[in-house]
Amino acid sequence: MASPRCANVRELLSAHLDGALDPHTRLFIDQHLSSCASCAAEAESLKATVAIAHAVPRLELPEDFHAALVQRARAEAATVAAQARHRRSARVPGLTPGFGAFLSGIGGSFRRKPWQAIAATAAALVLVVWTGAFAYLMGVNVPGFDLLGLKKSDQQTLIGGLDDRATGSTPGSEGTGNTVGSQPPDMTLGVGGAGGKTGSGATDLGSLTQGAAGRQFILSVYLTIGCDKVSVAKDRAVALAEGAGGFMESLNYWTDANGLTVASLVLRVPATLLTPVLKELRSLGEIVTEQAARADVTAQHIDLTARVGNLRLQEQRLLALIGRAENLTDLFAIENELSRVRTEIESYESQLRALDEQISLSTVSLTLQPKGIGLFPEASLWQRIVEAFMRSLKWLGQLGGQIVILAATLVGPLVLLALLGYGLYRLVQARRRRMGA
Amino acid sequence: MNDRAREAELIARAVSGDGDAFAELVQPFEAKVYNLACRMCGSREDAYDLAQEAFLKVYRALGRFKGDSSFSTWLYRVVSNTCLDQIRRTRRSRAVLSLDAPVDTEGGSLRREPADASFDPEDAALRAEVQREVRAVVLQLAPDHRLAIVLRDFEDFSYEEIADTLGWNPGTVKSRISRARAALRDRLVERELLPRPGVYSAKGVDA
Ligand SMILES: [Zn+2]
Repeated sequence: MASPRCANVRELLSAHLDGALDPHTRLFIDQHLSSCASCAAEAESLKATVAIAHAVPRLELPEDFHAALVQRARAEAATVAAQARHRRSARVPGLTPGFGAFLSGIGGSFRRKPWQAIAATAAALVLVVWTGAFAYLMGVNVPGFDLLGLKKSDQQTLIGGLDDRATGSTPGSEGTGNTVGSQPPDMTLGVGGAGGKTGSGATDLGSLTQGAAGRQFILSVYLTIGCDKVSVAKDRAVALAEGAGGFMESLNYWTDANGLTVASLVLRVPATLLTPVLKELRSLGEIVTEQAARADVTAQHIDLTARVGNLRLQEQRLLALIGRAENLTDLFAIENELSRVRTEIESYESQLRALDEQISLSTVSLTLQPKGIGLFPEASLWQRIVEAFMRSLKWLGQLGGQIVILAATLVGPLVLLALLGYGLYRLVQARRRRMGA
Repeated sequence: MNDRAREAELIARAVSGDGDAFAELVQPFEAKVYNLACRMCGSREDAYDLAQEAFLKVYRALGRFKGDSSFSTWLYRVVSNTCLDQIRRTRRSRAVLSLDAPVDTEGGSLRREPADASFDPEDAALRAEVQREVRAVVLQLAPDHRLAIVLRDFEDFSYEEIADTLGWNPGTVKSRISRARAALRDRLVERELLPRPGVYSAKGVDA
């Protein structure tokens, strides 16, 4: 076998035997084996070797192996636990000195009268426990940042506002046209000022998906609707998405602070049918907020497609090289490179598929809530300041009430303690007098 | 998956100091790890200690298991490295076959020999002398090559599993397995426990 090709083939025979080569290399080896008796014999001999190795009997696990391991694991666990305890106890002194100093400071004044120290400590303990339990039961409220009207974090940048004019042109959505048309126009342009401003410059959704020549977009709509019955509206919304060839991606129910159930669902709707579906979704109730976001992924799409194309070319070149490899090192390098290229192709292709799916299926994040809850305060700054002030007054009032209640709650044990302390004091005094006499 | 959930629960309990949970977690791997250790270090006594030591290492390192690979892959990584360390530390004076040079299978001067049609590898594997030779030759391989053939041919790992477990690239896995098998084959042929490759031609017929 003087041929370098035979040497290459032999180096690959072992992987070939296990079916671990890529299809092209496998074909190349098979072709060579059918024409080269020497390599074919080599393959047979290797196959027998592997068969022997596979048939060598396995050893039985010694019987006491598991028991011994259990024992060692327990010992190890004990050591670990001891170390953990050691670490924990090493941390405690950092806390205690302050507390210790506090106690000894109090203790100083009681040095001559230890019973007073004991009584004071007991009283302090009762107070602490009592107050703690009280605070726990009342659930002490601290006014949060909602006082400032910052309940909701800023939403995603609004790219395009939605416009009802677009829906009018779509056939098949006439039935609900009136309801939607009756909405005040600014309601559909998103929340706050931002939606209105960008919305006025943006094209309607229908042409966003199809119109722009050669551009590819991912469309996302965020819609909050106040409806009479959340569960009914939810079923209807899912049916609408499915009727359009879409599906429900996720569903989430939760109960808000006022005990009202809110449904939050993500619907995937074919981009081409987004406009009519949206129109029907809006008719489920009153629109509270509506926003649309459009991401231009044309460049990303072109980039991914180009990468896949380049890699495919590379793959072809590598395949052509396999048959011409001069030595083993080269051959393995080519094999490696080939599997790397294939992995990359697969990765980019799956990204492309995901992107295509996002382009063809728009995302509608729909929140369904009972009528009458406003997610975003539409009030002016002054109204919000007044409201916040009123809320803080109310909270102060509540706090005052709670302090009074706390004081009232403490009266009982305080009286009890005073009586106890007095009794004890009289007892000791009497004893001292007797001793003195 | 139920097994996965059970495994995760056992891992959590073991990490928080439950030795029995750990023992339950690794019980399914005990026989395999023991066999692996045996093939790697040669003596049953050493293998017993090595396997126990490897499991304890797994236990101590369990807190670092982050679940980015499967638990079994991670376990075999720790076990394999423990074996390699052990071999390197106690490297015997025994000659180690160097397989980094290409295996010389040049057969130009060999006469043609008919293939032994009656040869049955599975019968051969049951012969004590064959088993002894297999064990001996594996022990003479360099540690990495030894690990490759043990995982592939004795523990039945796939190429991907070996690459994941040991962090080798696919080409390295293929080449180490290939070299190790060739060495095993040559040794068996040399001891006449395996027929010589049936047909040789002085020149590559496809050249
Ligand atoms: Zn050949």
